[in-house]
Amino acid sequence: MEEQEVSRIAGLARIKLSLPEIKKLAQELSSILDFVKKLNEVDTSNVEPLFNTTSLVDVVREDVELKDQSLGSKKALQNAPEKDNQYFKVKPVL
Amino acid sequence: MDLCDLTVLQAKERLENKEITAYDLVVSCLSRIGLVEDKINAFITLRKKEALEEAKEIDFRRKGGEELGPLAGIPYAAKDIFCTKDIETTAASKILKGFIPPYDSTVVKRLKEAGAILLGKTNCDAFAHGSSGENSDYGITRNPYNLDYVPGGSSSGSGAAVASGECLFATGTDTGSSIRLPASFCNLVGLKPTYGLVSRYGIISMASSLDSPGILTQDIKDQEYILGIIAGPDSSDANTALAQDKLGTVSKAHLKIGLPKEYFTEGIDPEVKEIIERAAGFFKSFGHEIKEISLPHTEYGIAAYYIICHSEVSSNLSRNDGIRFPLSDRAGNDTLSIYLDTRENGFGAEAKRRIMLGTYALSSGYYEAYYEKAAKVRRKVAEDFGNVFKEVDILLAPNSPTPPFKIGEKINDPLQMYLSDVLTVPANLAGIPGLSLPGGFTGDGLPVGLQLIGPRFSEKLLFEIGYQYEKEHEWIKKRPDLLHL
Repeated sequence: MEEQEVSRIAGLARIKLSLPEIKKLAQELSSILDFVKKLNEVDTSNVEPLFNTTSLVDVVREDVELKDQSLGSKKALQNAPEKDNQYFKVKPVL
Repeated sequence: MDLCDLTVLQAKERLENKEITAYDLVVSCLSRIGLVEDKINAFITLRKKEALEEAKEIDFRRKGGEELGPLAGIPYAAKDIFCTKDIETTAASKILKGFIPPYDSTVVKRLKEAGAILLGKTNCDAFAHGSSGENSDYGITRNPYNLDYVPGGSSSGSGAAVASGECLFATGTDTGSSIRLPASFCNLVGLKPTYGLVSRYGIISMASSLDSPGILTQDIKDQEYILGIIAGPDSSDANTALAQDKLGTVSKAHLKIGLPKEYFTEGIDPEVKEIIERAAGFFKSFGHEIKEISLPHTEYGIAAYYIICHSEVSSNLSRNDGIRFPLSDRAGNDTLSIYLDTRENGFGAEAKRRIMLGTYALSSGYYEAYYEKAAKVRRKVAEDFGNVFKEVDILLAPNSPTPPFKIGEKINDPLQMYLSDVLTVPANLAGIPGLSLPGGFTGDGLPVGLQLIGPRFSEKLLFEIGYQYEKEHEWIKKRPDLLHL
């Protein structure tokens, strides 16, 4: 994998990798991706992907109001590095 | 024998007969912690004062004739990816330092309601990313049988803590190997339950379609007993909808036990092979039939696993953004730099590796070639098991192609480390249970576990067969020599 590609993915993953990290990851990811190439040896032309092994579909509950199920904003914010009233506080987005 | 070396059921009996108190038990565990903890580093957080207070309370209530929970007074530890209300939960990662969950995970809640006493949070590979315990941001955990060796991961601290008598049982999770490997490397019993048997609610997610919470114990009866308490449907984890009454069913006098031939190819350590073959001989003498079977897609399982696992990891770890949890790098001018800097500084090398690979595998233009392809191969792996379980009842295999390896031996080659999971990941891909139990020791005195694998919800059968083996062997009595650590 090219270092430029590693930088692109790091951008998608929102991690500011250092140059040595990018170099190392280029090598490591290349060898891992080389290894997983062998998946192409398996004929999966008529195979459905398997995502959930329980075979459950759409588990739903009764459509009734649940009391006291909410964490509440105080508890939900208790680990926030910065907060403002009932909000997580962030910096400018644009 | 020190009280902290008792099994859960032994301790429970003595507590109920009033021969010992919960306070005695906790004191014994804390004393053992004092003796070995600075050498093995199994814990990240200890709650000594609180545990002693809770023990006193339970003893007081028991004295008053009060009806107590099934695990009342039993000291245990929780892997530090289980959220524990008001107790720091770090996932052994720097990025979650200072995180105090406002709620208990369901497993911890059920153990609390049963009266178990939480001694502390155990060390693990950060975010459960690893097979050795070497990826923690809080130091390496060492194998109590030999400090130069890994205890297995990712539930490294839980394995080391139970093996050394620091607690009577501990919780773990198994996404690709992480209960079975520490069980195998530390001479313990560890079940990776059927996916969906035990609730994942409140456990810091690794790979959501693979994570299976469970426990590490000294023996099978303890494992079975505690599993009965933590398993079962939970409205907070929709995948447990089928988990009602799944532990009391099957019983069969003579089984067909399959040996997967692909699990015994080159790369398997001869001592490990011998231990498994001897176990097969034992089962045969017990009246079971041993049959060689084939799981043809075994060689593809590890590749499929790592694509699926890393993809789901990359998605789950996006919540570590410097906004919701305490660690936050706010030196930059905008929110984007909060993400970029916090994640760069907070994540360890392995977490970054997995996030990067997963992001790539899920990205536009690559999703079909990687994640979807891996998911199709996953179905083939699951079908392999479906097919063999028409011919045989359960499978016997090693957990690892090698015995416990030395600290530092595999950490510099991520691919080598990944390959140690080749015999355990198939069960996670298929969502089926895998039970690791003590099977013997190498010439160097290192533990080697057997693995029994069965169809979904066949835990009862695995326990029965495992117990037949355990009863006739002395392995569980061979505790580590802690005085010469």
